[in-house]
Amino acid sequence: MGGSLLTIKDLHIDYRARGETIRAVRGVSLELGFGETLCIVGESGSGKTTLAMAIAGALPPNATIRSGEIVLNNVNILNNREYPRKLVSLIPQEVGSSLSPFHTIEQVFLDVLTSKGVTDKGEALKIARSTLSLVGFSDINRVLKSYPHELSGGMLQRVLIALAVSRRPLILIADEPTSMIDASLKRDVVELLKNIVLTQSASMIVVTHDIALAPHLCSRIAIMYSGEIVEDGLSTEILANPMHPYTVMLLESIPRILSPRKLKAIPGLPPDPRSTLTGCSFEPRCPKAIKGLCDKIKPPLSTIESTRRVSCHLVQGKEVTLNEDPSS
Amino acid sequence: MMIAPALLKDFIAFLRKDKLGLLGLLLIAGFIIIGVIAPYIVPYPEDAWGLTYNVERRLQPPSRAHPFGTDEYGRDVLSRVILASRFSLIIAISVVTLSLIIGVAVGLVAGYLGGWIGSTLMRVTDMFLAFPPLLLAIAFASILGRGLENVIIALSLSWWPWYARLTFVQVSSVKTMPYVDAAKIAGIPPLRILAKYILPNSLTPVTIQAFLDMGAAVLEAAALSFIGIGVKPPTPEWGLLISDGWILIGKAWWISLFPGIALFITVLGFNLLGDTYREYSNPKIRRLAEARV
Amino acid sequence: MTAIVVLGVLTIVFIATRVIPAHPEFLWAGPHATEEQLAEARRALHLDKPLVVQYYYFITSLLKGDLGVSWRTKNPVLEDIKTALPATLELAITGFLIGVSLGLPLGIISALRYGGVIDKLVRVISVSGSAIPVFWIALVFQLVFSIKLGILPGGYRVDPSLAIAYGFKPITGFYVIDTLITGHIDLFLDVVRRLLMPALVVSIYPLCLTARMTRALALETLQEDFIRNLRSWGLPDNVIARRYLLKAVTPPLVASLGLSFGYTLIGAFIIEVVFSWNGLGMYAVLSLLSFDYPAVIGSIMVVAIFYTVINLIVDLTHAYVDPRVKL
Repeated sequence: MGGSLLTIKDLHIDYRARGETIRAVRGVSLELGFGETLCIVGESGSGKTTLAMAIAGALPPNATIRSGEIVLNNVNILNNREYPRKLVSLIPQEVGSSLSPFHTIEQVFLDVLTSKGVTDKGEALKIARSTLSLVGFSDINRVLKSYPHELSGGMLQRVLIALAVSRRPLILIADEPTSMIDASLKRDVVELLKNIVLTQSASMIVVTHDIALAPHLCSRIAIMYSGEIVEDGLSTEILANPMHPYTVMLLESIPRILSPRKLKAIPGLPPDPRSTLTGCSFEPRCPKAIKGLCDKIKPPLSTIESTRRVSCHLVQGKEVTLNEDPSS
Repeated sequence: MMIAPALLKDFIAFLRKDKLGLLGLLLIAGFIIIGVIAPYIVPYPEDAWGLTYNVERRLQPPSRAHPFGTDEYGRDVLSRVILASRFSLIIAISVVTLSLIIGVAVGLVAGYLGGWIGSTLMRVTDMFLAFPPLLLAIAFASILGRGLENVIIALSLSWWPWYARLTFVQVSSVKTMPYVDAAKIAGIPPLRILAKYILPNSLTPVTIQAFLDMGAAVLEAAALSFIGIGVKPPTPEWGLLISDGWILIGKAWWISLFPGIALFITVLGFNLLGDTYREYSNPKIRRLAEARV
Repeated sequence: MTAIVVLGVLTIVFIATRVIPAHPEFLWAGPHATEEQLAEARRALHLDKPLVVQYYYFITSLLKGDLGVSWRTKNPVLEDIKTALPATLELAITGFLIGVSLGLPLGIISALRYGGVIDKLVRVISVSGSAIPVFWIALVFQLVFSIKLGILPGGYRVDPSLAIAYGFKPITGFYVIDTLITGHIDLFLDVVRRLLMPALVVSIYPLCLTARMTRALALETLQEDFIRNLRSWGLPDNVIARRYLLKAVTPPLVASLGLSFGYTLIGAFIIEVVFSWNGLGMYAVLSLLSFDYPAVIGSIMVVAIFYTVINLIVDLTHAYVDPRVKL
């Protein structure tokens, strides 16, 4: 692992909506090195998208970074929320509304590259063409002259990836890259992203709710719940040996085609993001919760092995396995 | 008339945080209160009603005795301006109510019955909507002649199509709502469905719009009076007062100026509240507003 | 379709004008007419024929483009309108353009700086502007700039003495263009000076409406995903405003502006009266007050046709500026 490209320390991000404060990110700390791929996995409302947007410099105006530090390329972007835009490229989730309906793909490329400093139109078009071919387009001229509504969803997503890549970012952030895609095409997207990481030597953060996706794409996984990281480490290790009860239940709820087991859902709902809780945020839904401990004291994110961090009272260097419920 | 109380409460909550909207509400309240008590607070009552002719007091600039000066008949302008608010209030309420009654009736029937009745009714409505707003009012007013009642009729005739269309759209969409189907299946008689389900949910936006339109009604009535096809003298009406002072604008500017200010402030009140309501009704902008405060 | 609508309204107006006793023959024949002349007038105006026949004459002449003869000026209404219309258009279009070109940037800047001082100011201005009575503010302008300060002429399109001195004859009817064509610079300047104040008053309503609509549309657009994406890809605010906001805002704006031109036009009519501007508004008002029904009907028809044409143009422009719309 090279030196740290991105360091986040105890980050707290709030939203204001309808007169109330929503605490989306509650004390997140993590690091990303050069050329690393990290998957941030979590349910909707876990804060993963907010975190990603903060890194991309794309936080909405009603979001405030309450406290903590984000250091990107040795620059603290706390007071400079827009600095990341130079080094980070966002690949948005919503493909349909992602581009201006009134401009052709070519115009968007030109504008994006001009802001990157490529003022020569010919040069910019060359870059556009090469990235479009990188993402798999053959009829590049047609794509360039098209308006967004003339392209299919899949094509638009590839255009978005091309746009993001053409800026030669240090970090690519893919927001739910496979959730809008038909199952049969998911693999194509995954392959494309992997290829890009290899050829562009960029770091990549993938935000997803699908933990099954992680090992195909990323070397590391960070699992978020209710605004916090509850477990992170190497993807292969986490999948083989999950430690946090939430991680365990996530993995167990993946449908497996030939398995005779019934599907296990995680009972209950995530906590209200407006509230501040004492104790572990997962405690109300955790089958292994210890009354008097887990509901009173918040478990710190502690390093278990050299590559693993878990925030759970029950994990002290030993595994957590869920007993089979007699009712399942 | 039933108004969905939830919508109102929600809007009031939104309104409380918007200073400009609150100012508008204040101005509107002021207008209504002054309009109601006008005859009692007027310093020179006979002047106000236009019954006097005092040669000695003619064309005096603003002074302690006459803060807004006097006009060419020696009448106290302040009194006239205050009493004019009452007539504007009468016109506004009458026009809006009348237009609502006609418009909602047409829109309701057209929307609920649908079919060729609905289409025909809407065609007729569109006939009126094909013209720029004030034009029809001017046309009708010129035909009917001057007078308070004629102004009200002329304005109402040109205004009801907007409410008809609004109601029609509302009723047409509410008609297709699942809860209406449920009521039909449950065997509730159609008149009851109309009264309990369709009517309350369709009327709210129209009614709110009508209330806010009162400002525009005042303005249009004043325009008609100014041109000379509105209220009959000596009835005090702001537009009429302004045209009274028109010829003398160089020598006695106060005759036209103060009624205009009063008119402006009144309409401003409605416009401010209306603007807040517009922001409230637009979900995208509303989100922005709520995120800030 | 719209033709039927217009016809329907004109029928209503016609019926109304014939139902209300106004005795136009008095107007036609003049105040000192003899009984004979009055009878003659009645015959000339078809007033002695049954209502249905009068309606027949009315519709057929309308279709032929003959709008009848003004009972007041004794000219064919069509001629009167042809003379008056350019004056109104000159005023209305100038005012409209001024208003829109000022309102647009105000709206966009206000949206970009939502919640700030400029935003609040623009909101107040746009709401106040539509509350100001046009006829009153026209008077106030006249009072301040013409009477008290004496820097701008208070009325009329051109100085009569200058016009006579130069033998000025309208060519297009648009005095600004005409005086330029004939090359008389001081006449041109006079005309422009006289256009300035009324045009400014006309511009108040479109300015406020444009600012308000642009602001609302821009605020909506700013929340779209693509704006957030463009920002995150490094585009600075001024590029986003100029290229993307403007393009996104234009189609819906054009639609509502087109409709608001009708309102601006009516406002211009009233302003004409205040500034003694010899346009269609002045003509229509004078006709109204003297119960000159052919002139009134003719004016209404012209305005209605105008309004329809504008709507058509708006639809076409909408299709042009929005690539998603197919004609």
